[in-house]
Amino acid sequence: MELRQDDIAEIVRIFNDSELQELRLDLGGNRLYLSKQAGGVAGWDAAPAGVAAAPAPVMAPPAAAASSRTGATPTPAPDAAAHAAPASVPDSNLVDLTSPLLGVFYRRPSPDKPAFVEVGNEVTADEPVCIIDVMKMFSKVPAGRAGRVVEILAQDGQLVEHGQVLMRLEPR
Amino acid sequence: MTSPAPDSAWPRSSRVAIRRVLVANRGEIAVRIVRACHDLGIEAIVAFSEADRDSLAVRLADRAVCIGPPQSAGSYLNRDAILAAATALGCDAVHPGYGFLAENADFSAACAAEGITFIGPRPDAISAMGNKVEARRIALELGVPCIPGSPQPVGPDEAVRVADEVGYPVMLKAAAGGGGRGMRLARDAAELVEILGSASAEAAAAFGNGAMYVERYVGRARHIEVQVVFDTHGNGISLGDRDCTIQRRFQKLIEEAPSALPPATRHAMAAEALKLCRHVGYTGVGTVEFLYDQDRREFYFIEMNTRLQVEHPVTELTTGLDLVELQLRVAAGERLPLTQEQVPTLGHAIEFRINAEDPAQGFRPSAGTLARWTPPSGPGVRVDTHCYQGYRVPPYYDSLLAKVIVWGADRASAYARARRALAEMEVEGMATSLPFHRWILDNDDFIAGQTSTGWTEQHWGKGS
Repeated sequence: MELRQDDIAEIVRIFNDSELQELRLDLGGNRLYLSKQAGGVAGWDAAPAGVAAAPAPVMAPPAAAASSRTGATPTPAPDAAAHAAPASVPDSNLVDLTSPLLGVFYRRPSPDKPAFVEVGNEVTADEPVCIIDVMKMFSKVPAGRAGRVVEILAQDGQLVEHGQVLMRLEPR
Repeated sequence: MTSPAPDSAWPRSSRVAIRRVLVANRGEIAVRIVRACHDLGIEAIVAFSEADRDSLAVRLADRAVCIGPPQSAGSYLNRDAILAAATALGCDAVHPGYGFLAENADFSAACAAEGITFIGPRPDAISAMGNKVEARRIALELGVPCIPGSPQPVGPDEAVRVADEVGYPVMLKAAAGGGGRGMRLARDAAELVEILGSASAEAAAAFGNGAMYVERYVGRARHIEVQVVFDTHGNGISLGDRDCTIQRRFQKLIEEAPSALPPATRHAMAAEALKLCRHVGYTGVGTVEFLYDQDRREFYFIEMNTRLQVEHPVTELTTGLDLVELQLRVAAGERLPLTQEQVPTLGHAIEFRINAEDPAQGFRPSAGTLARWTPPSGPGVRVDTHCYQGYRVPPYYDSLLAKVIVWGADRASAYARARRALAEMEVEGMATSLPFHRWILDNDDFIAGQTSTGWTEQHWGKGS
């Protein structure tokens, strides 16, 4: 069977309302790890022996800062990981575009020009999707891989840190 | 900080008529101005942006006021907010530092209209000398030598005609540019036409003025500038020159004084600088910049900076004068305390700009937290900085972290001291220009004075 986003949301809701502290689910190609432990999350890798050691990145709280899932298993076998509070369910097919620099995020090449991309746009790997301004040195950030822009998380003109997720792409 | 000469030409007891200054700037220059105010018993109020709440200037100030968001358009360039802060807090003067509103004639006029002293020249002098095209017109009128080129801003046809006349390569410059921004090199007519449009658009976006002009490119040039100061009673003197030839992307990295030009050339250059300033009724401190053509052995006026400069400490160490004190006193209406003949000439000083830039990656700037910050000290070493260990360098402004200024009895001893000081300095948390400075102090061309304004780009990182 395949876990859909709705299914995961439902599981998270049940988990949140329960007395459980930790939950590991392995449904063939789909694996889900939930934890209520603050500070450090044990993650899938700390699972009991016998569990396949496929890459499943541990997500550090807060849950909103999802890590990249570019190194996922070859078959479409989404890894779903969610920290219980607050419950956030990143779509496992998506790729995070993170900021290469600490700087100011801009969505357009200049104030009077349209944005590089909007949600829903298809992009190529080399296509610039935003600008990071570090001390008036403007660096264009390419998409990194071809796909569709699903979400733009950073606000225009906002300070972004190195490694902060700017956008999410659905790879093609 | 050690200075080889008396701190001030004024008696210590002499109070300044200014009582409370609003410091409308940030970084090391805000710290520098606060300290000058405190040395003179003047209250210093620092106007800061949301990104500079934890800055050293704010900590040292008698009082600080937040004037807007991190982006400078809403804070350090926000004339209304700064003037409102100055009037509401009872300031009798505003010090604009360098950059931001320092060369803004409208701001100078707006201060005057509110009865607040702008610490800098009058609006008409800023307008005359701050605009390169206008300054060049005045210079030509007065017979001050200028680089052959277009007297007025040009379009593509005129640009090519002028370039054919003066010879390629040519330099394309934004009339309203400055600080190395808005300058482009064109090697032939095709390139000139190609970059004129984009350079003009960039200048329009950056400075609100797209006017461009064309000049002959001086290949083996040294950048030499003359420091001047004028009071409001018609007295003006030169405080010597500075050699700022070591640059990257037309921005200075190292400045030293005195220059190594022949004495007759230095005197002639200073005389031309004073002539220009007298003509426009200049007041306060200012810098007249020249290019010296090492092949033709001629100098040309390029522009004037109608403000205090980043590299002013080099002149302070070689004259024993405090330039910010001079600014405050002449702004308060005092007469210059010394004549041209009384200006001391003391040894050799050199300044290194420690920037948050990676010299290994084309001097790409970076922001972040200073995990370790150990500036040098000891005899003959002065460090002007706003940094401290744990300081978070914001990405919104320029990359200058510190100025390390060293003094020696002569050039060789200043260089030796510089090697010692820069070896002592430790910075962790981000790449800085320190490796470049350490490298250049052992470079034969640099030691022999065989450099030019394009030298850094030609030699740094090329294994020489």
